[in-house]
Amino acid sequence: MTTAEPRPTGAPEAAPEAAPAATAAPEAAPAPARAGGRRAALAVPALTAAITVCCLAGGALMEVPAAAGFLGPRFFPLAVGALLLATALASAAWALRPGARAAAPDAPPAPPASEGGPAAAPDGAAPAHDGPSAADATAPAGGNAAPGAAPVRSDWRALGTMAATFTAHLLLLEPLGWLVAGTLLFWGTSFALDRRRPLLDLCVAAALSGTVQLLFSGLLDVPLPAGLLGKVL
Amino acid sequence: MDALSLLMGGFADALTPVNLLWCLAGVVLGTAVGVLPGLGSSMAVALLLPLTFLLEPTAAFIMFAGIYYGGQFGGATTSILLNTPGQSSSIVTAFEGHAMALRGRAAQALAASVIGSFVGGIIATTVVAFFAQRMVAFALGFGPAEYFALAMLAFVSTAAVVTSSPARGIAALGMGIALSVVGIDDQSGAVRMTLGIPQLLDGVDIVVVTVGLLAVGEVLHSAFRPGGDAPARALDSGTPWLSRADWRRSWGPWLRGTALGLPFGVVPAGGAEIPTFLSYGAEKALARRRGRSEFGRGAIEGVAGPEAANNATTATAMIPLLGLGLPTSATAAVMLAAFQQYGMQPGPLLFESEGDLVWALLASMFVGTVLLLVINLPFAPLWARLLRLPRRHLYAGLVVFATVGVYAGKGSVFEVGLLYAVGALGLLMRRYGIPVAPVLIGVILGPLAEGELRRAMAASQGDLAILVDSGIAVGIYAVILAVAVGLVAKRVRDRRRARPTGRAAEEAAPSGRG
Repeated sequence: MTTAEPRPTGAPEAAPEAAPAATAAPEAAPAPARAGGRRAALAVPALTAAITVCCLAGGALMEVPAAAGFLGPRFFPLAVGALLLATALASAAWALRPGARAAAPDAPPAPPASEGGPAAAPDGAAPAHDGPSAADATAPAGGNAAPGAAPVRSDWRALGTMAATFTAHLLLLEPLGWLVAGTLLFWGTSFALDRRRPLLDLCVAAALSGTVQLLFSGLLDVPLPAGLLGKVL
Repeated sequence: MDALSLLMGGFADALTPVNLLWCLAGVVLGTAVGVLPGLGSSMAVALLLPLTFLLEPTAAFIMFAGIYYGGQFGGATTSILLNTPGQSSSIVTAFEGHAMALRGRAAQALAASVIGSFVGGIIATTVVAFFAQRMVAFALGFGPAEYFALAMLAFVSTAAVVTSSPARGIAALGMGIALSVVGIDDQSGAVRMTLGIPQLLDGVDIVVVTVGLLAVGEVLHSAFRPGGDAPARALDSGTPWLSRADWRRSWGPWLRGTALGLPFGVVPAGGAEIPTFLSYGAEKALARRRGRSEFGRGAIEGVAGPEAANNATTATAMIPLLGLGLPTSATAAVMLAAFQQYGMQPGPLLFESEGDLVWALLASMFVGTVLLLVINLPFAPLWARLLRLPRRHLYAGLVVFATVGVYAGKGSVFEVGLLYAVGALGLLMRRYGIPVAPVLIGVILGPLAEGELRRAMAASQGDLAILVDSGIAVGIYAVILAVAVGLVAKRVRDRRRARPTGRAAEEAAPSGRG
């Protein structure tokens, strides 16, 4: 999770706080539905608390110019922080309430949309890109079908490869130029997802990265870092 | 009639060969992205957001209109052929559409959805062209208090209505607002929450947030998802066509779907999924009453209605977007971001200051709808072939385009790093079921809410009464209250209904599935 470091909201706390919850997930593989639901329930307050800290600290430590107007620049971050603090406390209390553990094993295996008919579905079907519907629908299903932890472990390897690829791309983009760094970016990402045909991926990566360079430098007149290519020409 | 002549002027702008080409490119790109599984139209618009740095405004917005519609339609194609909706608004289409495809009626399902999109799109765009100005006339009287109330409405409805768990919605919204605060404060010049990083003085670019959360977050999350890389097997589609019997069965659902979809674009209730479900339910009930319901085995009504509703909602979302600057869906939020990239603030003044652009955009929505019909009816089988692209190449390509797009904007590696960091945040959010849309709304409307609140407070010297001084503001707060009450009532009812079965209700609320 190296990419999490330049977090814009300014919370070094955010990464550590969220990370333990995340890294602990694979151990829960034998009972994914129960542990996942519970951990997810605690992850939300944790993430909320991290943002709260950013807002409150950012608001409190701010240097306010003398002529700041009536409410000033501090008010809004502090107000949002207060709201988030209340939310974090409330959702943590909800997740840790006595009944939560008993209710968790009964977690519904999938959104009830398919049986429940259209009336029930809009809730189960979360809005575009909102993730939970997809995540929640696949996770318990996969867990029930194959109780082994194998897929989870390989998932972490894939994510690690991807994070390493992104970091490498950031470091190499300017020194080596787009052509090399872009090829690496494409290759690393596709390799992370499936490592069976690395050579084919490399060819596709080089072709795409070259096309992008031509497109941006040639047609759209936006210079991408030339790097090595610039030295050769 | 005034609107008509202005619209004709818009057509004159939109129908230049170059702009027609951009619209065509938009429709093709939008359909291509929409067809790819897991990617919806908000992603399509977001990925192309960096292009705003390169194109002149009219061309860019014409292209966006094309992408917007193309993305919606592309989602329907995957729903029908693959049973994997690209976005939530095409979930319903998958129910009957895929059943039709399994029975060898994929071509009819595609045709019903394309023509349904066309009907919904054309009718809704006409409504937009004539009502957007009404909205503007209404909105011209808005002051800081009213705008603040509007922003609150958008916040409450995205954080609470769109998501099933308010805690997650509020967390996401707070994240968005926190991001929007970063940088130099407009009103006082104070440096806020930059951690001493000079590149953050200008704030976090909305393009970076959008592309990072939607595209990079999705790619990172895909690494977690179980399942191999084998491209999903799509059913053969054939060239879409409809028999006379199909026409007879479809035209009613098209019109009813459109009528259901129209009002939903205007209210900030989370985009197009609700009307699609309503339309599906209505058609199902009607079919049952008629006696020989095909629902469950591939009823063409179940494809025609929701698709028309979907596109109608998509189009009418433009009314609050252009008239008030209020985005009612994630895609509309991204469009709003595009306006801001050009230094324009959608709202009543936009029609005066950028009238030509607005009317060209409205005209190109018509053009986009027509192009959609022309391109997708004959070429649907070709689009389906895109589904054979290996997943790893698809996602790698997404990362490459997201990266290069963000880099091209400012030519700074720091922005790319920020993009990946936001992507990591997007991964965490997806993993724990926190919705992304409220973050976008928070980033975009946060500064508006803050600015208007501070302006109102400065004018009244701290008297809170100014916020509820006008009838309009009070009306908006009443709507917020109604939304909240309705939400609580629904939750109570759901729990009561779920109790006899003895499960789900308790778990539903904290896990966000309820």
